[in-house]
Amino acid sequence: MASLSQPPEPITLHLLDSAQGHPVQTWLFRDKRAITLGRADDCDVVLADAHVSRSHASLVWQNGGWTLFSTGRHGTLVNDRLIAECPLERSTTFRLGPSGPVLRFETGVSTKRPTETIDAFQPELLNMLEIDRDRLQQDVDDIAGNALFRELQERVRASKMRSDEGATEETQIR
Amino acid sequence: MAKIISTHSFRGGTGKSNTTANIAVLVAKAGHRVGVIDTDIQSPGIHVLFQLPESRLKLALNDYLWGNCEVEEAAYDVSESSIGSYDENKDRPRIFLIPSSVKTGEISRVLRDGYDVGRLNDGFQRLVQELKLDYLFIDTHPGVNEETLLSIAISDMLLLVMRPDSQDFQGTSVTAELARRLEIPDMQIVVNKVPPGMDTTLLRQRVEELYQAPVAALLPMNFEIVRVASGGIFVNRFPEHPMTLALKQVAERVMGRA
Repeated sequence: MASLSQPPEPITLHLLDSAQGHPVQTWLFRDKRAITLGRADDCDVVLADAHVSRSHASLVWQNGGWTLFSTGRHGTLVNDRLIAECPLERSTTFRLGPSGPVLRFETGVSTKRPTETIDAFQPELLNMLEIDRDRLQQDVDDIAGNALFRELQERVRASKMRSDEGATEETQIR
Repeated sequence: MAKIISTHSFRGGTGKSNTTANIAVLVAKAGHRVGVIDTDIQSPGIHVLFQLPESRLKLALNDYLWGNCEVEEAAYDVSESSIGSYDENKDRPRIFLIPSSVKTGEISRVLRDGYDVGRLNDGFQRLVQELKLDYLFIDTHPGVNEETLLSIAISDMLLLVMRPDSQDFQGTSVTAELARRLEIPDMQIVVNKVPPGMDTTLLRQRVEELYQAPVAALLPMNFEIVRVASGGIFVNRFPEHPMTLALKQVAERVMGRA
């Protein structure tokens, strides 16, 4: 049996993009024996998400391995099953709450970076982006010629004049 | 004095409501009292992002517009679901949502009978006062109509949300020109759903040149936000995502820090 003084195995936690499964945020823990996850600011992994409880789950180093404990009222799922506690394999994916964020636990320290979406150029994509000036002029004239629009313009001007006068008065008082 | 920000798209489907909700949350989290009002009465939806269940929706903007209640009675404190942990003994940060009704009967009543747009204007002012807001975000209906123009006219800042496609380019140019004629003090553009492979430097240059307005952010086509869309605020779930970092830049501009 492993002794209490045995140093914890370093772990990596990835917050996964729900559609594609790639990591969008990563936390590394080298020396901690207990890691808390939840919405509260004092958790080690803070997830501001309505599906996450203030104190939702914890990872504890015990008996030479890591165990996941569910501590919040929204529940924690491993393989789509609610768990109270679950010893973790080298790589285990779990979800906080039935509709909450998905995280992947891995032993060891990963150095992968989140994927960037934009990574290549195709300059011809920009060529289609033009404005038809004649049509613009016609559309704007149609709307701006309307009585309602002119009334709004008047109101904007009147309110600007009022605030300008207010500012002048204020300056004089000083 | 509160700052009023309108977000507008010429067409639907640009991600306007999602952008509004995420920026509003970032501004609130920076320590402010923020209101978000859904004036897209014909196709409401922002309440879903704030995870406000329809069963909790007793009063909506529609009730105020028909004179059934004061506007602040239709405001819901959504700080718990969208800010996360905050000190209940302090009055900041807070975020309030004023949703439009999701009942089909009430939506069709608006389409059939209309409402007094002047009352909407009074509602904006009263919300700022009664809820002691630092920022009020107005999520407008796509296209150009009476309440859109009114919202733009009374705003301190207009965020135009558009996709890089030719129809959005043309339509947004109309809104931008009308906003200029309404002497909007600050107009900025958010280009959303930029596809992979588009040169973002050239895209930014092109947009700024065509609209004579600064680009606040270029947001990538984002599959994650589609997945999260029905269940929460993206910036909360993915705090380090490149999309979140870009939205933070917009929030900084709203707060006048960039």
